[in-house]
Amino acid sequence: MKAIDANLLRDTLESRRQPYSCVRSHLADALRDRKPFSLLRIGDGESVILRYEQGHDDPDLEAHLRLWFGDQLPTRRQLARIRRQLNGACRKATVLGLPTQRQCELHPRYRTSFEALEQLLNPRSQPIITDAAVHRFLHLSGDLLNCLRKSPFLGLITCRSIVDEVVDCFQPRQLVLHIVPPEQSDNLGSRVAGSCSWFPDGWSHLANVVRPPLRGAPYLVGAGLMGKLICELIRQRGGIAIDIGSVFDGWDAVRSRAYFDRYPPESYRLTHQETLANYSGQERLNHLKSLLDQHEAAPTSFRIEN
Amino acid sequence: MRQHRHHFELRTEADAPFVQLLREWPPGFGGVERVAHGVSTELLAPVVSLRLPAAVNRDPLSVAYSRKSLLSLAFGRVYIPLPSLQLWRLLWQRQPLLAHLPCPTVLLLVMLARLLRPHRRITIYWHAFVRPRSGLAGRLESLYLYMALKSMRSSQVITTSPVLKQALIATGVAAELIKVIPCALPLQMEEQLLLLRSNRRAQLLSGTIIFIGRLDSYKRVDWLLESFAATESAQRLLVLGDGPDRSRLEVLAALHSRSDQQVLFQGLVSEKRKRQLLAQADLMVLPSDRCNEAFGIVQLEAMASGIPSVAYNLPRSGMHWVSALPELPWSGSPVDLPGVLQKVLANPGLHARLCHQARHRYDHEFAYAIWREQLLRLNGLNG
Repeated sequence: MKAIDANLLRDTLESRRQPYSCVRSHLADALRDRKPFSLLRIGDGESVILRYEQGHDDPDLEAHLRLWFGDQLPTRRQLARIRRQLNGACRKATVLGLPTQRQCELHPRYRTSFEALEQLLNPRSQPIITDAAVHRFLHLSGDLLNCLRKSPFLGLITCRSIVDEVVDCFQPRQLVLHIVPPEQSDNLGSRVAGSCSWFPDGWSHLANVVRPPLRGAPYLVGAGLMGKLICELIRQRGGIAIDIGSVFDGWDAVRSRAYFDRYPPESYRLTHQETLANYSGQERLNHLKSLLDQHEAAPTSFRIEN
Repeated sequence: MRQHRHHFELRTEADAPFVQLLREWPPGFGGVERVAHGVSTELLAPVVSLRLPAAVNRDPLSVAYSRKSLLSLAFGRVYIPLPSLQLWRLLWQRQPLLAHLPCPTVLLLVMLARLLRPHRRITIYWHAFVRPRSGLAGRLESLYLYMALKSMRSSQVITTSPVLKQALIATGVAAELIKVIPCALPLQMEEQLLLLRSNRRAQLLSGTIIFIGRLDSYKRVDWLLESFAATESAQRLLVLGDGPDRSRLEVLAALHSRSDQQVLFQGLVSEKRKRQLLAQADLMVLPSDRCNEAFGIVQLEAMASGIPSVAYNLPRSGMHWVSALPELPWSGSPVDLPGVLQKVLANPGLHARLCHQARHRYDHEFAYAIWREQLLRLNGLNG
């Protein structure tokens, strides 16, 4: 009986999955109408937090915590709070990117994340469900630049030193940078050295200072697990948060994910978006589909257009 | 390598000419702890501070001298040292004391040390006057100022600019007791900033203004934002630093900036990133409106890198004196700031001459070698 219920729920959540074209429309609407908005993505890593229970030892959890937080690990109480806040961020997100069914079949961590979200999100919950690769689609299609070029405001939350490039490319009237601690495995690129750690002070400081100066002020966020919580804070405070995660790495020429190696070297640089600046919306979508067809192992596992 | 060329006789703490006492843990990010760091780096003088280093901050500069902190209780921003062996040693020892003010606790410890050893040589490093606020805090600040100035009538005093020297004389401190040693940048920082000059000579004016500092109310970045918006030739404002006013300033910038201008809030940046951004800037502005900002050491970073700086002319503050240049058309009045920004940014010839004058003034008045010479001469250590 339980298995049947789980399948029904999975069908329910899976049936809500929207194509990328729908997500970009929602983002464009939010930016135009200055509506609070958050787009965040759940991958394999978040599975250890979504299923976290105090008192249960989990070696996978330990490894992930070291990756995110280094030597300054959160206490059990802080971890329980992070879990609650992550759950809340997922429930209240405007758009939530989930692993594809193919990813769930390939690796149990993706399945764990998906199943945890099945339990978390009831059928009437808010988020528009889409693919977790939505951040890459926003970049590869050039839609991100198209939406945000010459924006009155742009916030960056990242450990990467890519501000000058972003300013040249996006040309915002005002840019605000918040530097976050890098992942501990990261010895590459031009990340800001010597920045503080998330705990005990880094997170509370950031949560205090990230305040959208205008309703609908957009922020690009790349801060791992804590980035999901920041996205929700920005949405609550009237801003628009887009969790672009490792796309920041691509802009900084740091090939931190396997998919960077499947694409030509320039595909994930900011210059790629600039080359699409004069394309129409449909041309950008076609360009994205063509890139996925050429460079993804299973391009049909992603939903791009109805 | 030049970092280690201390005086040949000074090798141990006991040989150091004095022990330094200050509120913060050097080197830190503030002017006082930067000065104390410079002194101890050169003379290996041990440092005693009231505060421990913040757990999350690493030392921004390398440290080769001994540092200790007194066991203290914090009441808001005031630190009260608890009885300890360290405190007793500090007060009872015969080694001369160099105490950095402003800080009420440091002042009280100086008075106590003088009571215990009336003949001990105690020198006050007078960094800044405090402008008392209103209310109870203001009354306590006035009391501190009164006691500090009274206490200095029997001490040797070092201060950082002729402006502060004159202000001290006006309060009754004898002129012969006061020596002026302008602040300096650490040698390593100076060397790296000087490298920026060669690239800058080929650069065109880009209309870029830089501010570096804590985003706190007295820094008046809000005034700078207004002046920036009112300056036709100003294109880009780089704001480096973090602080309690940051969110408010971001809102102000969003509401008031012109559509053809950019305001970039960079947060707290590394030294390397700071140099990258200094290299992009045409002009620095230090818009503090209180005499608590008495020197503006950050202006030296601009001048060392080859650009002029402008700061308000306030009573009892030397920051306007630090960045004054022969051809800088600047009264130092806040209302004139947009005017001076426009004159400098719209006139490449004037800007080039100001850059030359800033470099020249830095090299001849504020360079590390000059500061070191003054420090050693002051302590009778230079041969």
